[in-house]
Amino acid sequence: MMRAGWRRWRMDALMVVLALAAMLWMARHTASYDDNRAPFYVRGTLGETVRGRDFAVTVEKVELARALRLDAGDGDPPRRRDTYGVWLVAHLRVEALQEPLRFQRAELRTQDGYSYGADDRRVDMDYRLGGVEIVPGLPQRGVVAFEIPRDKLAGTVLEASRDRFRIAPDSVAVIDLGLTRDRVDGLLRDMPESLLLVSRYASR
Amino acid sequence: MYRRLAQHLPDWISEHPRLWSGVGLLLVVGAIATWHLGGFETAAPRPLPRFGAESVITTNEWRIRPLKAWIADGDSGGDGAFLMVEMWLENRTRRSESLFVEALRLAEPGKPWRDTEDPKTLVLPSDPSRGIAIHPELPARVVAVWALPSTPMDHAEFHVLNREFVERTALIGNAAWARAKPIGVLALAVEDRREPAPNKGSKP
Repeated sequence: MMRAGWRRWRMDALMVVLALAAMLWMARHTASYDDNRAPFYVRGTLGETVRGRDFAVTVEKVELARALRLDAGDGDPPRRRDTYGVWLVAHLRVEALQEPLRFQRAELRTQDGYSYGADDRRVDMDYRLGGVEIVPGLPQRGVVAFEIPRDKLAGTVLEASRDRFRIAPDSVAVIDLGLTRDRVDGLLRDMPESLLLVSRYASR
Repeated sequence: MYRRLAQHLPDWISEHPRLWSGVGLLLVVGAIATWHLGGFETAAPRPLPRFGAESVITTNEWRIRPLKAWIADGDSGGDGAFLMVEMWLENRTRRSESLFVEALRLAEPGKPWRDTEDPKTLVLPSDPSRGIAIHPELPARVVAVWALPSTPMDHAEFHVLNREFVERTALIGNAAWARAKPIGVLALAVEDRREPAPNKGSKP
């Protein structure tokens, strides 16, 4: 009688331990919230058109500068934006494929995992492509400007998507900017002291 | 009476009455001494480190060197005055960040730190019209802006908070900065730079 009780107790304890182990394994191997909302990456290179679900983007040119001069086209002198790193200005062509969209998000992602957002406050949307409504059949050209330390340029790629907050899993274009170490050295050597950006609303 | 009590005690106690009587006596004397020396009172919280202007404050997310604080008039639209704190700010994370929350909170008498306010925004000293982002490894000279409390102030104190990076939060399992807790107090003298109110009694 006692042996049967002891055997049953051991079985119950074993089932509890197995259940705990199974729970721990599931907790470690179940996709997290971030994993479930991970985007679909579409890759390309400088000059190549990268097509996502509902947009296509081409990085046509990349420039570096020590400072930006922002000309509002209102007759006032351009406002200067300095940085402790460098300004990387990417010239983009963006096309809406299905419905009107606002091109909301662009980031530089470095080889060592750092992420530099397009600062829509130091360089506001009057000069940048971000936030402009793009309708199907009428692609838009514009620039996106980033501040980045010089020693993080090599190997950096540009990530672009329509959704700033990645609310739903969607396409993210990942574009290799061709920033090899030699090319970065050449760009830094030849970069101008400042680059002039003119507001898209400047009177022509 | 002791023998009646001893009948209910386990053998390993009742067989050594003098030993256990001595142990019991020691425990009572120790408890009385602890009470007399204040050992049962609630311990006073350890004072937090105090920081001032030009000191370097390092948290997991930021490196902050506060410079000065002043009160400025609101804009002509009728907003009240603002408390401005100029500082050097460095982003120690791997992502650009435009939210400066749970880092410095304006202390208010009688309010726990959880109920105090983050700054409304970060702006450039040269262009306070818009907020900015702080990029990793690119320190920036910025001004944090709070709505001015109703009490007059010639000095201000701020709760300095530190957060931890949580790979999976408990609620939805995403990665986030959380678990803020105070690590110090920043005290700054405040200069009043508001325009003096016109004297109503003076003749034109």
